[in-house]
Amino acid sequence: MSKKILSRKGPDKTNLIPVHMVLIIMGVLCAGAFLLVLGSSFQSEKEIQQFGYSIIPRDFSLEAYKMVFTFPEMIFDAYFVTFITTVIGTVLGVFLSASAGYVISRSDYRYNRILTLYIFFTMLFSGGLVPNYILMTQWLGLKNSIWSLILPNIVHAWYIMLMKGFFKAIPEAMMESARIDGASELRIFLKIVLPVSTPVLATVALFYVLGYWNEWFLSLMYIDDQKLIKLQYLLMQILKKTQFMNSEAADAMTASGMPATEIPTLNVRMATCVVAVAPLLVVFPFVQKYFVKGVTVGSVKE
Amino acid sequence: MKSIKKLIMTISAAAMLAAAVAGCGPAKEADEIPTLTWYMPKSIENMSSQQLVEDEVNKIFEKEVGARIKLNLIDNASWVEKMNVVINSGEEFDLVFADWGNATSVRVNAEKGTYMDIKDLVEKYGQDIKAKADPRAWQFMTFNDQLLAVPSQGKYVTEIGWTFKKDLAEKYNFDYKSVKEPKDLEPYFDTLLANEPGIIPCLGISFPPPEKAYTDVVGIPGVMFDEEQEKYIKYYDIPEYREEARLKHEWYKKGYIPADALTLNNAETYRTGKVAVMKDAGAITEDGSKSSASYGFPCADIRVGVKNTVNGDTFRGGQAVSITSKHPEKAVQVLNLIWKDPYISNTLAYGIEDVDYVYESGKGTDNPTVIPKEGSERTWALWHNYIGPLFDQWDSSWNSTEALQKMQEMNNNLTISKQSTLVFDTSSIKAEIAALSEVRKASQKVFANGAMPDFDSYMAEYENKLADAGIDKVIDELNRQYREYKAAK
Amino acid sequence: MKIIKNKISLGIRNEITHFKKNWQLTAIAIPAIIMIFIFNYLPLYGLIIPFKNYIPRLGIAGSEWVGLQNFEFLIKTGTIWDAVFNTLAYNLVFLFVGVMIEVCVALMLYELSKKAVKVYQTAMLVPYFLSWVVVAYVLNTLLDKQHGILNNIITFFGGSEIMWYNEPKYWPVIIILSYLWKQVGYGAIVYLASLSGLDSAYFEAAKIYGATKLQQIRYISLPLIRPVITIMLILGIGKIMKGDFGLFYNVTMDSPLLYPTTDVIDTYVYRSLMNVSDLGMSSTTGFVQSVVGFILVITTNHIVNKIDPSNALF
Repeated sequence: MSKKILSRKGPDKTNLIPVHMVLIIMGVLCAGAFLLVLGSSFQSEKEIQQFGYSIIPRDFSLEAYKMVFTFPEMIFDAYFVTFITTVIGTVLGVFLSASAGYVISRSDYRYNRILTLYIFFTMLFSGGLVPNYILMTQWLGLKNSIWSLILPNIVHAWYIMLMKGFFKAIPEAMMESARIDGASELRIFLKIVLPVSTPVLATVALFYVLGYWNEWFLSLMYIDDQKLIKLQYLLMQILKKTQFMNSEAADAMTASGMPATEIPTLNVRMATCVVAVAPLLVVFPFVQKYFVKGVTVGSVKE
Repeated sequence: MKSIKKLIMTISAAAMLAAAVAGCGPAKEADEIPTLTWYMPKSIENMSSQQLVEDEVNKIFEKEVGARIKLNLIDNASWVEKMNVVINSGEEFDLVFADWGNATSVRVNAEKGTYMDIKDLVEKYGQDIKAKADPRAWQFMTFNDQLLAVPSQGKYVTEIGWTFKKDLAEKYNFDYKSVKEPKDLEPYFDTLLANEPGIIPCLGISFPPPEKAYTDVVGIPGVMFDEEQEKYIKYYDIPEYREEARLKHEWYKKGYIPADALTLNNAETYRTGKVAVMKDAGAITEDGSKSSASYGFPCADIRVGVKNTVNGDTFRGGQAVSITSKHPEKAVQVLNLIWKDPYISNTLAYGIEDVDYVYESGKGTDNPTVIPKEGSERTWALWHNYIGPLFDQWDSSWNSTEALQKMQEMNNNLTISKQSTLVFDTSSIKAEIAALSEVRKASQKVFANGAMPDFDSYMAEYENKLADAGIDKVIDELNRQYREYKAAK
Repeated sequence: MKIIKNKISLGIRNEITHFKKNWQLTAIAIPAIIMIFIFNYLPLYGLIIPFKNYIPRLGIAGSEWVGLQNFEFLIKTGTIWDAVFNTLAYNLVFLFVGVMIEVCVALMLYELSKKAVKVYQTAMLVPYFLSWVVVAYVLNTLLDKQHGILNNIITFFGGSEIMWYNEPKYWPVIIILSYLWKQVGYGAIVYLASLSGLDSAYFEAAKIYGATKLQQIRYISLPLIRPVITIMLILGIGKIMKGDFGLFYNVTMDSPLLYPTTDVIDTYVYRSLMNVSDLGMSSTTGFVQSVVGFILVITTNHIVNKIDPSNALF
């Protein structure tokens, strides 16, 4: 099969130069921003103030990282929490959305419209922060629990709809033949549908990973325990604080005799950003193979 | 089937875990000693000494009060967002820092019924608080005859100060000490513009307040109270403020205020050392020590004015007991002990000896001097005026006895606004206030920096927007309520 | 008789298989249905908050009904309509231009080798990881008055500095580019994945008949991923009233002079309610945004249903 794909593109290679050109420009524009962040995290604060951010620091300085890692336990705790929530959330989330997405993708399923609407409705309407907070802390008692960082985002209507769109492309015939063999629906789903859907599953898994990794608001709402804070929340605290220091509220506090608070320096902000984002960027290319050019549906049929 | 089973198992595990977590509550309550939950804003990010600090003060609280405290620390920038949710959800907690703003402020929460009336409890258990807290402050914590919070000590007047970057002032022989009003700065700015291309002459400074007394109307933007005429008026109907806005625009056009002032973060720009005249760093000191420490280079401060007439809000920082608290009497006892024993309040503020601070002198006495850790080394800091007894503060780089005495002196000389105990019923003008708030917020930065394309047309447009938002209705309503209030008095 | 009997028994058997099938399918979806119920439907009682004068001590149910009073503030001033217009206009552009570019990128990536895809896709996904606050810093290095790269270029060619953050007229372009820049890499994943799911036999056949690349795209790729595109568009329309606060607040550095072209509903309401911490009023905005989104989605879906039912959402 892989041979076929290769042969399909073989002769067209020469036409791809403009495509590469466009993509190189886009890629450089996109990656440039991160390189800027990365570069300036190695600048000294003085240098940033004098010359602004730069991709290549004039004087390579570890000042910012030393600052970020003054208390390494804090960062490692945060990494651990981020990692664990991402893994658990992704595994459970992918399975749940695949199951729901599959069921509503079946046009012969009787309640398909109503169930789709049931799921879709949650995309537009939410009860708001306060009812959610009451649910999580008072009804489920999940305050300061790692589950409070996982469960609220575990089923996501958007991902279910995505799954549905993909599953729709699976030829009915595949399921039909299994049904004739007397396989149960669950068996069909697990043994036939899921195996041919790796690109979809991998894609949605990727979305879950990105979502859980970047998520910080749940930490703000449900976590008071410093040990359960996520990396992105640490970053957000630093970034929000800088803005806050420029606000009227901060003025009011300073005016009331509060000692001045130091603002995180520019390079520390950048370094924290790198620390929060880098692991995923490093890992990303390695897992990419699972969803780029995965098994095609057609090939299974052969 | 296997996966489904697994899934069900995982979910039930989650449910069990949830039950277990929820189950912790009652188990703890069976314990003799209750734990009081206390919401506090974090002063710094890294508060890793929390357990040590709690253990240290809990030793005393357990013995003296029979209770423990557990601090829930929220970062400053998220405080409003988070506390709004916590309060609106009716969560069970015991103590909370009642701020001057609008998330946990006593004024806003009086209407919501968030805080418990602790009048009798303070009478019974709070004698040490009563001895130290400013006697004038209690009335502002009292709504409908209910005492809703214990008022913190603090700086109750607003000083307006200008901070000069010392090396520049000295380089150009500028006699900053003789500066009295904004006009006095202009020659200096011209010199700077001519000779120092990289330097911003001024950024983010306020002008001296008008001679006559005007006070803010708490929670209602764009309106001021005229103390002499005893009526509410529009902010820019006060000639001094209009003049300030106009002069700032002139400065902006001349380049005294930088062209990109609207997007500069003042606090951050100050630290770059590129601004010649800045806003003071929260306290005006003879030697500029506070601003030098805050901005990171030698500075000199001058005081250009004091807003001596204050409304009730300046007194309203403090500690409140939640209506959902199960142990209000313990909560008040804990507060009282904090006010009574400077060791406790200073431990809550500075942290633990050797971990967060060391003694410089006077260890074991009532007034030691300590050296708190600085910068990234710091693992604990809570501001004294958040906790309550500010004037029990041990000397340190944060504050000196001398500075605190000066603060007290100023407090003693203040005048309280005539409208200060009036609590507005805003139910009929809620939508207008929200609209005013939008208009004010959208233009505030522009006025503060004079950064409009054209002053007259911008002002006219601003006033039109205020009129559309219903400012006249709001002012009429405020005046009506004031007349009633005065008559009732 | 026998035939009829057979028919009946067949019918019954059909019913039974029907039930069996539906039941089995429902069972598969049950865990998700339950989770959605707990975490999405239980909190929905909050939707009545906009109609209440909410007092925490009384709870949501116990607070007093006030009818439409909370909605009043939304229409109190004329200025919100500018924000509404901006929100709609930006979201429409984001939606249609976004989808177009994302599909193009996916089509281009589909032609490349795995290695090349890896490099490009990783690079294009980078912006997705940078929060808007960080993006704002990055953009500031371009637009800063003194050190900004753009102004350096302009002055180099003899032009005069532009005060980017004071000039609303440039911002529709800047905002749209920022959005696309951050979103395209992420959005393209969906289309690339659905292209990867296509049967390669189609392309084989097309090649045998001598179809060019463009013809293949026009007659095979696009029609085959049309369902996914349609779903994405319908879903996008539901969010058309919601402005991305992070983008419009941070990237503009909240510069008030830019409001005429950058103010959206969410930033507007944020300013309005800064001094008024009122749960009833803040829930109202979300409610209106949701209702409008819902109506638009139902309408769009209805139209799609008329044209091609297989592409509709439900």
